[in-house]
Amino acid sequence: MIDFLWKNFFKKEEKNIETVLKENPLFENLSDKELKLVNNLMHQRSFVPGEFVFQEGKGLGMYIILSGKINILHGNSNKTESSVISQLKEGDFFGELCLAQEKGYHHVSAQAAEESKLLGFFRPDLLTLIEKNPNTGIRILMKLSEILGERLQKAGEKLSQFTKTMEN
Amino acid sequence: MLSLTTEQKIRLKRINIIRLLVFLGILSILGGVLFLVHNLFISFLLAFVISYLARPLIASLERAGLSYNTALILIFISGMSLIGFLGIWGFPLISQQINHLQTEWPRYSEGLLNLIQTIESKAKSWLGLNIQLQAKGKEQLLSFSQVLLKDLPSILLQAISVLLLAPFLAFFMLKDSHKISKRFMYLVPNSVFEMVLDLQYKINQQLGQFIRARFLEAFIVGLFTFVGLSLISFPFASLLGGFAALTNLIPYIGPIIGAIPAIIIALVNHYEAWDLSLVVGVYLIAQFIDAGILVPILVARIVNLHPVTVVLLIILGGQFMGVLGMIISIPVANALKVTSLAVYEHITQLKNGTL
Repeated sequence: MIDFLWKNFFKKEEKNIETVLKENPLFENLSDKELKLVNNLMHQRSFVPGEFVFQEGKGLGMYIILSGKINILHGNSNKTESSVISQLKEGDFFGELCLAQEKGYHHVSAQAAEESKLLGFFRPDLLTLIEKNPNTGIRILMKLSEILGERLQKAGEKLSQFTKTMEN
Repeated sequence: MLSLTTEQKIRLKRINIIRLLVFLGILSILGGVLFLVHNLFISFLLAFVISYLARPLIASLERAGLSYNTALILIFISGMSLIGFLGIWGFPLISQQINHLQTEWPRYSEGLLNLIQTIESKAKSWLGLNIQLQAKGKEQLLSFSQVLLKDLPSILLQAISVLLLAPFLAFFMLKDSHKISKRFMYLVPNSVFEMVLDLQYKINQQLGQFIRARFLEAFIVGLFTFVGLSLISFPFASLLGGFAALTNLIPYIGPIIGAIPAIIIALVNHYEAWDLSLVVGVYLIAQFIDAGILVPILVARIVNLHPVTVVLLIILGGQFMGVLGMIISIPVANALKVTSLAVYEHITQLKNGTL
């Protein structure tokens, strides 16, 4: 138990956080200085295997995987029909929809598949950034809306496909 | 779905509980120490207020392109020089008025006793009531005279040391608040992390708005009272204006308390009805400006407590901590309301089938 706590403190970083951030589409067009600002606002969290990052319900923001693997599941832990939709790995991110919503909601649950280290970026952090460095904040918001727009478009395409197959 | 072995579940639970206990333990130890050391508590409270007042200024400098630390130092230096300037300008004025009050005091206390006597006899002859205000009033007046004449310098000195400590505390609070809150957040267990972060942000936001609005409001009311009393050349205008500003921080009851000294001074000096109504008019105008312009613009959209709740809270606060309690009871109650709502929501969500 104690062992676990210390191991996480002193474990060497697998990858420089700012490099991970730079590879993330949300932050890809930020300067090094801006990345430092964003990094300052973020929260590093460690999860043990089986621990939930979040469960279906109220949500506050997104997570970027620094190390480990995260399972995305349908439903909650006590629903027997819970099933893995996909497994995310280092560099992937999830939950970004909640950044854009006043009352964010996770429609899935996320559970650590192994010991994982995540970088959390939440709505309060984004709002703080917008208040103090509006330029940086706007650049992130533009990227966020681009990502959300793309996803909406894909969902629309899938829906029209689905309606066509239903009609046939 | 990854199912946990019992051993893993126990380990997870233990980690979460230890983290939560450490987090809550540190919070309660800090709170307890502050609460017990009364002077420190006041300094901290003031520092807290100052830091909330300074935060938007720092943010606007940051928007202009300065780094956080440069902005903070700039604000701190200009704030301190402003205080120094106000001190140099205001100290002679206030000390003069305090001296004046000290020499005039015997006359006022005598006049007040006479006033009480008149009220007593009138109550007796008109209403048939036999009230014994004078004996009690005399005792209180004597002890207050003692305080005013003998202990005032030492009280002022103590107050100044408490007041001077506050900006420095505020400086370090502002300098390291981000680091400290990040370290606190690190201790929060994963299962409640998002809720605590959300709460921290919301309470911070609400408290900040509330404190800034109330202090701006009090300052403006005090200023209007000072200007109005000076215009009708009423004695002790700056002291009374400061007192009105301070008591205006207490909702509903405060403004009435704030006007009492001026009315007593006017009565003791045997003001004519017209002059007395001028004095009352100054306070009434200040309150009309407050209720008609300042509150709707500054305060109304922030506080969402029912007026009856507000009055009850002020009485409760006064019972526990005196005037200080009356002033801080509303923001504390607001923070508690936000917290309990979020915790309730979290618990009911968990009951709906998780963890």
